[in-house]
Amino acid sequence: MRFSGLLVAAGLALAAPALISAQSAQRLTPPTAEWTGPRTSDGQPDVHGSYAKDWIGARGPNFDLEEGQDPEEMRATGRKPEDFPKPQMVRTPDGRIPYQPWARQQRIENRRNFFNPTELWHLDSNARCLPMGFPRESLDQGTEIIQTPGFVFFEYPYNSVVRTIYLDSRAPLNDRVKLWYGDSHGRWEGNTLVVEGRNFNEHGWYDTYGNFHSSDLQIEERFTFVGTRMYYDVTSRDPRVFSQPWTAHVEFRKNTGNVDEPWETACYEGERDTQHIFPGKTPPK
Amino acid sequence: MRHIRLFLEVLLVVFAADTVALAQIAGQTVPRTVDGKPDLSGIWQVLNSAAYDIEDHAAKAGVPAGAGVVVGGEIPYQPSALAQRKRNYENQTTEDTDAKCYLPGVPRITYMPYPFRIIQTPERIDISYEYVGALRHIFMNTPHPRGPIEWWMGDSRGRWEGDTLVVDVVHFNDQTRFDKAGNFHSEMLHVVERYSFIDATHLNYEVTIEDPKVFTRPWKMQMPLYKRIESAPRVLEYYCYGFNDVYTLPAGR
Repeated sequence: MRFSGLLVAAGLALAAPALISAQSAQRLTPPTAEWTGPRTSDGQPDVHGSYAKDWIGARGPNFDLEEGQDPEEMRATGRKPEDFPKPQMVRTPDGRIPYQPWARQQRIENRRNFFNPTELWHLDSNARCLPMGFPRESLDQGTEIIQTPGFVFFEYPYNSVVRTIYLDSRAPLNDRVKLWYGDSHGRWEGNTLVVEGRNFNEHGWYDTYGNFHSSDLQIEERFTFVGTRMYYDVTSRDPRVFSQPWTAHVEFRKNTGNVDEPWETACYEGERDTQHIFPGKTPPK
Repeated sequence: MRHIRLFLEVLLVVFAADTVALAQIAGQTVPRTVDGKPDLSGIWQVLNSAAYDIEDHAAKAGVPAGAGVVVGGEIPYQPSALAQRKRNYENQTTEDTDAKCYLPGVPRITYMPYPFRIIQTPERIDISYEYVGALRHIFMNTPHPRGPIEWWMGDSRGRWEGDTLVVDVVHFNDQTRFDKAGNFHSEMLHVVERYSFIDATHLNYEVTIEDPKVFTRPWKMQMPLYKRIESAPRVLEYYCYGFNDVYTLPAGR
């Protein structure tokens, strides 16, 4: 099992206890502007490179998109919930995801189940080394951007995942094809890559503690590049689960120094915890 | 009459040119990147039954018959290794990577019956495989890190030899196999892959296998890779470990 960001959370708690504010509705991404930098051979803004998540800018780790605090971390450090900055990723006035009433209950149950699991699916998929899915992976982790003619690829070294964004006008996938990582179609608007994502399955969450969506989820993502920063805004539309669309915001910094080679992760091959938590329910390894 | 003469002249030219002309035609149609290298970008897939057995084999339930991909027909096992291959075959439904849904190693990932996308840049060539979502990085013109390291997919370092992409792969573990028939290697495995264009939509894929603990000498596999030429092909997902016991919405929602 893995708890991404445990150390990052600890570092954040020490480094930035004062970065708490309640300006959730404020626009954090600069307006889209003309791209004046270099371009790729097929004319795209050349933004290739490695980007690290700006955890301070994200105002908190995303164990829980709404709450932020990690009980494990609090137990380990003896810190109180108020010592942890409230996350400000969810850009609604109250910082909450606009669930429909039944879905709010479901989300509370998901969180309760995660801490008292009696079924494998009570655990976070990432804890079992299953895919994270989008938009979680793009909210949670740094990424490497690769551009080839007609494509933008986002590679996520943490889970060794590659996301293909088609810039051509190909037809969308049939709605019955559901994928952890969905089907992504993009276009450049000045310095902003706009990506429409759909065809998601309902197995992946937004975070560790059970913020969820259905397989009707459609997302619009805006990656805005200014200097060495990448501003990321993802709007989720899912009329089965949410009462209205909502946007999450995270920022990234481009790594300008040497970047380590991405090496093999092989998470599932090494995963041994679930067979101890649930003897007999998982195949022995 | 004039048409017949023209036809004969064309025929003569074709015969005279022979294979040299064919090679030139192939050379002209090979797509190239802006830096002049052959452009392997795109989605590729094998059309063979090597995933079941890389040697010649008859059909059996669930296994299509097939001509092998081993050059010369047989794998030069050390006599002591044959018993292990037999055990592997007998336990393949539980112990093989395909049964466990683990990363299958190189070159086996290439001839799994799933498509893969080659993403080519001058510094790195990445391959995104549909099977278990494997992502492989081929670092160009750089040395292997110092071992010993045991990775499922090894460490891949590439270079161009003329128009051939040559990939040297070491640092494997001994858990992967070559197929479902039990053919195997040790952690001493050394793989050299060669990718070269036959024409614009076919690659010749040649692999040299070396493993002094298991084989008496180096040996080769060879097979074509076929480009997926339908419009807008995609690499989708085959996360076989994510089919069961996954989160779903409550019934009726």
